Amino acid sequence: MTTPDTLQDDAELLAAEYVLGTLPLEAREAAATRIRRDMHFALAVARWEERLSPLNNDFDDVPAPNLLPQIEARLFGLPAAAQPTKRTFWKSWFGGAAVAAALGVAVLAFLPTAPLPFAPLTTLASDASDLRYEVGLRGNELRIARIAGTAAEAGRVHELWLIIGNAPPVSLGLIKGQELTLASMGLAPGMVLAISLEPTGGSPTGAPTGPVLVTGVVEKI
Amino acid sequence: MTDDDPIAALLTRIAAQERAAFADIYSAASSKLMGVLLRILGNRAEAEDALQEVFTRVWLRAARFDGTKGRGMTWLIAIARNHAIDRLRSRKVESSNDDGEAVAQLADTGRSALSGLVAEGEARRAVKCFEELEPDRSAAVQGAYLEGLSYEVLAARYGVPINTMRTWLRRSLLALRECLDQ
Repeated sequence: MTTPDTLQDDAELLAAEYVLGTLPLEAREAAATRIRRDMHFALAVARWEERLSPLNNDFDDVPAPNLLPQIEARLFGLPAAAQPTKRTFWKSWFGGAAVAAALGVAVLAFLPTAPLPFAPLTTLASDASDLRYEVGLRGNELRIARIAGTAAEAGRVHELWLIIGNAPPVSLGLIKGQELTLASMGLAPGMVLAISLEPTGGSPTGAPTGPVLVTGVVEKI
Repeated sequence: MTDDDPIAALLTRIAAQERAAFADIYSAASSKLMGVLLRILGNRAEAEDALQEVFTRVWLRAARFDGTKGRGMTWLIAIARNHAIDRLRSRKVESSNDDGEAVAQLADTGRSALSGLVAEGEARRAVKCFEELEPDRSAAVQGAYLEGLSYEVLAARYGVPINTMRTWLRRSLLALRECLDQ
């Protein structure tokens, strides 16, 4: 029943355990990376998914709310407020009034220095990951905002690095939530921004220690 | 290939960036995926949050779907299960002292997953293959797959060392492969 090829068997069992879901987090992450890099392993995983798929019949349907507007806003950057919503008239009117009131306040508060939108500089991305960070500039404010993918798992953090030419990367800070805003400190076209995965508290060495997740080149300022 | 697999057909259109197909797949699959996420995560708010992440991944990864290697719904459920289990495992890192509690909570959720299956064709063979396993081991495989139970939790539930549980499951998986691939 077992083939003499031990290596092949190990990969086959790893694929099976990955699909079954029993591996600890680190081994799961390693397996997920291997799926993207090793076609044979990816195929073994796909075969196990099919083999065990009869168990999927046991998952009951549970009606989900319509979260499509939020999902599309995340993916396509549409403002959530502009999404069509199914609200009853009075709620819609009330909501509209509240928005108008809020806008009134906003206009009063910000009229002298109306904030401009962030101009997009680049997107940090990678073929190997769904993670995306959008980098935008407004005046001398630099904002790095996650627009796809998930934050680092517990015990880890995303760290932002600036790489100028062949010089060693310089840490610009940790991105603990959805975004990070910094002073722009003389960015110029050709500079590279990168995000690495580091232990909570950031790289202990001052240089990236974890995998580089996504990168992007500053195109124009 | 996609004639009898409407989800696969939608995934092909999503891979071509067709947003109407994305809305259609949400209508067609969100209930099933919500069922998967809720079963594994056991928390409605977290399941809804996870559902958004899962559909985000569906859009971003649709081009990687290969209809010759599997069915559309199987692919979607794999994304949902993987994401839910990753969340569970991350949660355990945060609160590694809660194992006892987790075991207590999970101890009475075991039931035979395949018992409710309409036994025809492939499903009938799957039922037969699971029945060939020892009942404890069959239940452990199903608990891992359907509830996202880890080796630690399963070992505690069945009162065996973790390595023994790992061996049980590996042998069960190989036996299932043998039986299902016939």
